[in-house]
Amino acid sequence: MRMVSWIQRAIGAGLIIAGAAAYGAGLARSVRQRVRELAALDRALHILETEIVYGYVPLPEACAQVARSVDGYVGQLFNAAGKRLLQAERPPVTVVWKEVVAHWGSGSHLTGEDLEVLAALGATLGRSDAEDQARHLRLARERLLSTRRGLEENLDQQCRLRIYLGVGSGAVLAVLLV
Amino acid sequence: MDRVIERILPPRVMTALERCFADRRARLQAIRMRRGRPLIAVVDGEELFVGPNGFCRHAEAALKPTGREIGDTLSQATQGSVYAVEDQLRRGYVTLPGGHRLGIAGQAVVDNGRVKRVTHISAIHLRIAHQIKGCADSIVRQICPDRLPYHTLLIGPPGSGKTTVLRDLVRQLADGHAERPGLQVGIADERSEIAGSYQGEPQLDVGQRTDVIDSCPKAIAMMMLVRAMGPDVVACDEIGAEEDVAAVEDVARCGVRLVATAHGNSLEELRRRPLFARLLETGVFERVVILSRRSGPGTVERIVAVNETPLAAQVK
Repeated sequence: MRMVSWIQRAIGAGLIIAGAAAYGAGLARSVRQRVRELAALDRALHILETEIVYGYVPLPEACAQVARSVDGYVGQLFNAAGKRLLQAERPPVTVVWKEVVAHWGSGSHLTGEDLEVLAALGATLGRSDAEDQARHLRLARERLLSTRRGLEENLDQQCRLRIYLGVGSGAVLAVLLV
Repeated sequence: MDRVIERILPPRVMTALERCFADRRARLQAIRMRRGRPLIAVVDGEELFVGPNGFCRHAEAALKPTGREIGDTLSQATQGSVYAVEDQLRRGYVTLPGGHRLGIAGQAVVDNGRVKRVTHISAIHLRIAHQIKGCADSIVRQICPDRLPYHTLLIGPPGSGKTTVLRDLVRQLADGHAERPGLQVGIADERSEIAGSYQGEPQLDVGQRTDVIDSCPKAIAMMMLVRAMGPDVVACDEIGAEEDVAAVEDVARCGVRLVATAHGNSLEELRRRPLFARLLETGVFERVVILSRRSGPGTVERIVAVNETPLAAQVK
């Protein structure tokens, strides 16, 4: 009877530690994914700038072009923006941008800080000449790039830390509970 | 109201305008929005203040558009792509689908004597395109008794309907009718006012056989049309510069008929201006149509035969 109880406790502790470790690994994956999405966002804004500055391509088409070149949530965000801008009632860019950033941003690994930079673009996007548009887009890219560089500098360390924290907190929890 | 206008105007302005026209059948000709100043609608030639609940007598009661609303209007008018119409904005206006025109005023950035861009846009003048089919009926009969029309100059003061009459004249010449076949017409539409082209396509009915060169200096556009499109008639608006007059003479020498407009109250006034005196003396123009606003825009005061010897005959 005692033997069974001991085995059960060991299994329980193992499960808690494994669950916590998986959670930690998930957090680590999320950081890596955020870095990937920040890189995709940088690529997207760069393409958008090129379309605007060199092609004078109208915003709905420029968004569609970005969507064709960038995968994942970022591509989907631009695809949704392009389609919405072409709708019959022609909603204002500010409204469309706010909607798509809120909708597609919530499903991505980007944080509130990243989405804030992206959302702020909505107030100026398409509202001025190409030179001014390029200035706003570059500013947004610089802000996102600085975040990405900060993450990339100690990415492995941060990921390891999250896994260790997961395992460690799982172990503590197991000792307390089992 | 036109769907295009509904889409571009800010909701507050649109609601006010809808209330203005709820129980009134009138023609809205233009809307003037200036940052922090009273909203004005031009209705049947009369300027009226627009308040939140309809037209109002006093400027204090009128809606005062904000800078944001002016920016929104421009953004909506350009499908959220102001940068894509930079070239047009440098000239001070954008042509919209439907042939409407959005004029802007703000701070111009000038480089080497040329407008590089216009920033801090503080005023918008939305001119709503109206086509009055048939307004040139009486003119067509007199200037085109045979297959080809006389070289014709339409003159009148601002607001006398020169462009509207020219548009209808061109349409009728290009379409023809039972007794007269349609003609190939070319329009040199420097300011997009005749055909109201949007992305190169005429938004107003200028006839089935009409080609339009849009947003190009008219002196260049006229010669391009003659060389490339083989027109019977070339039409252009507001001639007045030396190069326009030279181009008009060149077109006439090529055997192509001309229909043009110019500012002027009378033939005598026109004769006092050296460039037009030359055009009238050399016989480029054979008929001058004098327009006024006496009985509304497009009133034909007189049609004068100025030179019975066409230029072609003089050249021979």
